[in-house]
Amino acid sequence: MEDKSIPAWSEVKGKANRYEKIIEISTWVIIVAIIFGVQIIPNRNIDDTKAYLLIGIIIAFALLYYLIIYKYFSRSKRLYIKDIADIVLIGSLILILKDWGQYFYALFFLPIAAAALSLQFINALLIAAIASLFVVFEIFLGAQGLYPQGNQIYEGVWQIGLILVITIFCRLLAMQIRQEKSAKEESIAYQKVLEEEYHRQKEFLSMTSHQLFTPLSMIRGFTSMLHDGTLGEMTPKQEDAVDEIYVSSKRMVNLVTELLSISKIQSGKLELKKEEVKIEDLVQESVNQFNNALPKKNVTLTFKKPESLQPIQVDKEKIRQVLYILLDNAVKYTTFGKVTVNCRQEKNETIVSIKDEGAGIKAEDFDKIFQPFFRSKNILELDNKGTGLGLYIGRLLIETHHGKIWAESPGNDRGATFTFSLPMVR
Amino acid sequence: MKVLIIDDEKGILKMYSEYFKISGLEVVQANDGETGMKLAKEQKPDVILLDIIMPRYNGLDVLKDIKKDPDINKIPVFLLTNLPQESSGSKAKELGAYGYLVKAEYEPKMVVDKIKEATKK
Repeated sequence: MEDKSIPAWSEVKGKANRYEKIIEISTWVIIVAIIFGVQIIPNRNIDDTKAYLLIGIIIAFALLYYLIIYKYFSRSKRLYIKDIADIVLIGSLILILKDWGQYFYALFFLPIAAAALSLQFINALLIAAIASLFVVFEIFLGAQGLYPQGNQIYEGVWQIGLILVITIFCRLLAMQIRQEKSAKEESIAYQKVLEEEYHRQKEFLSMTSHQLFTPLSMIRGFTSMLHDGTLGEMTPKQEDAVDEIYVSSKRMVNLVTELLSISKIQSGKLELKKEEVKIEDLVQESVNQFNNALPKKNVTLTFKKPESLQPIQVDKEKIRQVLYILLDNAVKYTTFGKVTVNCRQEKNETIVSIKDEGAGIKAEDFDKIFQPFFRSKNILELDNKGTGLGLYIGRLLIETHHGKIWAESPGNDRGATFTFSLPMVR
Repeated sequence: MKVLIIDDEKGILKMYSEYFKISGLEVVQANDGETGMKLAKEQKPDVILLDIIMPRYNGLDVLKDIKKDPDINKIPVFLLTNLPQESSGSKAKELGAYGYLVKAEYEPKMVVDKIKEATKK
C-alpha cells in the first residue's frame, strides 16, 4: 500500500515559509536603496569607493544568503546569521556616512522598515514606537546637557553605540515576534495537514466497510431468500445448512459493524454530533422500540419517565446506541423477570441505569466485562452468538462523552444493574 | 408498482430484482448512473433504489439531478448502499433522499417493506 503517513514537521514548515526567503533579503534591498539615496543628495560627504564597496558586499552577501545559506542552514541558524549581518551592515553604513548629522535619523528607519516588511503592520508600529523612544531619550539627554556636543570622536562613539543598541534591540524584538508569528503559521499549516489526514483515514474506514459489506450483503440477502423459501423448497438437510449460513452471515455483519465502530472510536475518527437532548425522551423512545419487538418470553421492560430533567449536550445517536446495547443485553440475558430503567440527575450528572433480573455477573468477571471479546461462562450458556464487543463499544462511546459506565450485581443468577453517567456541562 | 434499481454490482441487482419480482413488484434495472437517469425519465417508476459508489456518475450526483428534474423529482428515492450512514447519510438527506438503507443491514424482504411504506404515504 502507498505510504501516506503523517508528513514530517519540516515539510509542513516548508509550506509556511514559502515567502520568507524574499522577505528576509528585503532588509538589504532597503540598505542599498538608502546608500543610493544618500549618494544623489548634493554636497554629500560620502566616499564613493567605500559606498560602492558596501553595496557590492551587500549584493554578494544577499546572493550568498539566497543561494547557499537559505538552502543548507536550518531556519534558526539562518536567522541568526542574518541578524548579525544586518547589524554589521548597518554599522558599516554609519561609518561610511562621515558627516551623518542630516542622515542620522534615516538609520532609525532601517529596523523599522525591515520590521514593516517582514511583520504585521501592528508589530512594525510597535518597533517604530520603541525606536522613537530612543530618539526622545537622545533629545532629553541633549536638553539636560548630558549629550556630548562638540567633540567629534565622543559624539561619533556615542551615536554609533546608540544606533547599534537600537538596531540590536529592534532586531531581537523583530526576531522574537517573527518567530512567534512563524510558529503560529506552522501550527496552522500542520493542523491543516492533520485535518487532510483525518479525512483521508475517515474515507478509508468508509471504503473498508463498503468493501467488506458488499459481498456480505449478497451472502446475507441470498441466504435470507433461501431461508424463507423464496427461492423454492429445500430438503431438510439443505435447510439446516442454509439456516447456519444465514445466522452466521448476520453475525458477520454485526461483527464487522462493531469492529469498524471500535476502530473509528479508537483512532479518534469518531465525530460527536452534540445537540441538546432530553435524555428521558431518548430513553423512552429506546424502551418503546424494545417493547414493540420484545421476544416472546416472560420479560417486562418498564421505565418511569421522570419529570423536569435538564436537557444535556450529547450525540443523540451514540447515546441511543449505548442504550440499545444495554437494553439488548438486559432483555437477552433475562429468561423471566423485570427489566427496570431509571433516569435521574444529580450533582451535575445525568445518570441512566438498567436493572435486570437475569444472569448476573460473577465477582471475578467485574473487571473484564467492559473489555473487548470477553464473554463470561454463564452468558455463553444463554447465548453463544454475541460478539463480545457490545459493552466495550458502550464504554468507548460513554468515555468519548467524558462519562462513566459501570456494572453492579449481587452475583451469579441474581441480576445486574448497568449504569452510565454523563456530565451536564461540556 | 414499478421499482427502478440502479447499482453497478450485478449480484446486488440480481438479488433484489429476483425478490422484488417474487413479491409482485415490477423491476427496472440500471447498471450505472447514466442509464439509471435515462430510465427514470422514460419509465417514471414509483420508487427508485440508488447505489452511491458507482463509476463516473455516483449516486449522490444522480440524486441531485433527479431532484432538479421536475418530471421525476417527486419520486421517492432510497439510497441503497454499503457506505455507513454517518459517511453519506446527512448529505443524502440534504439532497432530498427519502431514505438511506445500508445493504448489509437490509435483507430484500426489509427493502420491500420500506418500498411499500414509502408508496403508501
